[in-house]
Parts: sequence; C-alpha cells; structure tokens
Amino acid sequence: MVIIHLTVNPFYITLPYELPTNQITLFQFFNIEKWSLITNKIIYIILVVSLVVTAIGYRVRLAIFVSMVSYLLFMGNYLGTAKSPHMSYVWHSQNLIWYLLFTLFLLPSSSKIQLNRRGVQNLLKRESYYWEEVVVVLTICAAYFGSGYSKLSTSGLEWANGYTMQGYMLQRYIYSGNPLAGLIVSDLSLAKLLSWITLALETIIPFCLLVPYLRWVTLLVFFFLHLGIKLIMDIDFIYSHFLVYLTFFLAIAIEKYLLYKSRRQLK
Amino acid sequence: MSHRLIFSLLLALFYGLIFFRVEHWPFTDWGVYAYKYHPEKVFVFDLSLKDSEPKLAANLLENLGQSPVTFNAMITRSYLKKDEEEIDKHILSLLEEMKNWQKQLAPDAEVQLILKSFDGVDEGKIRIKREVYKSYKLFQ
Repeated sequence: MVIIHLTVNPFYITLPYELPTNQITLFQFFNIEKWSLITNKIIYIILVVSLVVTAIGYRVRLAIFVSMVSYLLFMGNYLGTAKSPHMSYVWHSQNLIWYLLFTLFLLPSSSKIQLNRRGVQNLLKRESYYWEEVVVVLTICAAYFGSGYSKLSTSGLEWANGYTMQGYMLQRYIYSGNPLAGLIVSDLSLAKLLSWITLALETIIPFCLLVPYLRWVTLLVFFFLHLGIKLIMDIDFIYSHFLVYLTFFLAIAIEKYLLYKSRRQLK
Repeated sequence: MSHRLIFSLLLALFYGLIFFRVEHWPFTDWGVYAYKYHPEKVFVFDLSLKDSEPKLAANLLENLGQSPVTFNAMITRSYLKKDEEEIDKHILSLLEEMKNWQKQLAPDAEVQLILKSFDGVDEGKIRIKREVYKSYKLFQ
C-alpha cells in the first residue's frame, strides 16, 4: 500500500525543489541542509526498492530497517516543504507509516516472513504471537489517541461545547464555501454532537480494534470518519493512513483463513 | 530481545511521547485542532485583485501556487504579532510573482488583503463580513 501511495504521488520527490524548504527540527538538529534533487531521487528509489524487497520477503528485517531510515529522511525532506516557516504544524497523515515500519522492525516474526512456499509453510507451522498483533494495533491506536488526548489536555471538555467545532467549520466554510461545513456552522446541536463523536472516536473507539468481533465494524466507522474529514475539511487521511493499516487487518484475516483451512485439511 | 521488553518499549515510545507532547517529525503535531474556539472569533485572510480580469481574480492564491490555508496561517501569525512589516513582506513576495501577468493586468492594478470574519446567520444562511485590510499597487 505504501509502495502504491509513493509511486502514484511523484510530487513527494519534486515539491521540495519547487518551493522553499524549511527544515524540520530533526534536520536542523543535525545541520542537514537541503540535499540535491538527485540525492532525493536516490533516497526515493532506495525507499521503494526496500519496500518491495520487504513485500517479497527477502532479508525482511534488513529491508524494513532500510525502509524505515529512508522513509524518515525522504518524507522529512518533503514535510519540511509542506510546512510553512511560520507554522509549527507537521502534516500528520504520514507518520503512521514510520511508526509501523519501526514496529515491524522490532517484532520477532518479521524475520520469518517470506512470500514463497516455504514462507507459507512457516506461517502455518509457527506459533501465533498474539502480542505482536496487539502491539501493531496499539501503534495504530496511538495515532488517534494522541489527537484526542491533546484536545482534552489543552481545552478540557469545553472542546466539545459545539462552538469549537463551529469555529473550525466556519474557517473551512470561509476558505471553500463547503456546504457540509456550512451546515455544521448553522446548527449548534449538530456541532456539539459531532464534537462528542470526535472525542469518542479518537480516545476510546480505536481500542475496539483489539476486540476481534468489533474490529470490522470499527474499521467501517473509521472509513466514514476519514471520508467525512476529506469531504468537509479537504484533509486526506485515507490513502497514506487508513488504507495502510487496513492492509494490515486484511493480512491478518487472510492469515487466519489459511490457518483455519490447513487445520481443517489436517482433520 | 524479550517479548515483554519490545512490547513495553514500543508502547512507552509512542504513548509516552503523546503525554510529553513531543511534536516533531516523525512524531506528529497533535495540537492542531486542540484549542477551544468560538465562531465569532474566526477570521481568515484572503488575497484579491481589485476590479480585474475574472479568470485571474478568482482563486488568486491558487493561481499563485499558494494554499489558502498556508497563506492564512502566515498572515495570521504576523497579524497577531502586530508585525505589519512581516505582512508586507509576505504580500510583496507574491506581488513579484504576479508581475509575470503584466500583459493581462491594467497598469494601475491593485491587490487587496481581505479580512473575512463571521457576521451572523440569516435564516440559516451564514453571513461573512469582508473588509479590505490593506491595498498594494502591483506596478508602482
């Protein structure tokens, strides 16, 4: 999914060289100046190749490590451009990918992944490390929890008084005339309801992903959350965020189906 | 490495940094929409070409390759700091770009920095107040 996202969005490579670049904090700390476009392209190629090698299942842990480092550098270079020098805001639809790469790098099962006959046999024989599945899910939950926690710690429950949601929607309405944003602005009760739903979706609901029989309903809810954010706020968390972790849950579902099938055959 | 150690390390890292509000790549800026707000305090800056060619005047910022959100953030920050020089610097850098459209614009073309704010709701329809904050002659 990450490979697809990177390859269909070439502006990630070229945008830092069309607009002024503002170094992210990490680059400032190491005095990293903007590197040349050719260097950026090389890092991009290394990133895509390492992700493909990971997907194929060859030297997985090494490939994930290379992906993790090159993603940190490549996307850090891009984000330094997307960020204005006058804002502290960091585009946060991209960091979940790095979180997941880092997590996968540390998990013991990563070295056993191989997309060939032997790998599938290993998969069917290996002990199921449930705790690994839990830690990946909790990593995904952190992306939502962080957002909800910061709202509550900064503004308390007043964040959900309806006026805050109206304020943000009004700003969006002024920018774009979005009728959905206008609808929320003109109805305080609706704004208040959406505020409480937002807080619940960010602080509590993500952890329902840990419960197998609630998992797919929760994913459906998050799909509609991100679709709503895209339609109203014009902020896209679907491609680089939602679809990436959806791939993980689909992989678990396929793995469990294969395990179920092999056990039935053994009987 | 023991399983418990990996589990604890990962959770401590991702959740600990949330509680400590570390907000630098690759750990994100959680506080984007965290602040209390009121619609009456909302204002947005926009750029407009006065009495000009409709094709250029509509979506002026997009025509200049500027995101309205980023433009507004930059101007708002300077506005709140009461730094008029910084506002002028931002706008003048955009005016330099616009000089490439010389053939399509009148010699006395004027760019206006518009302040849009909430003016009330009329029968369910939102009223937006527009005031000209500052004007700049394009070809001085």
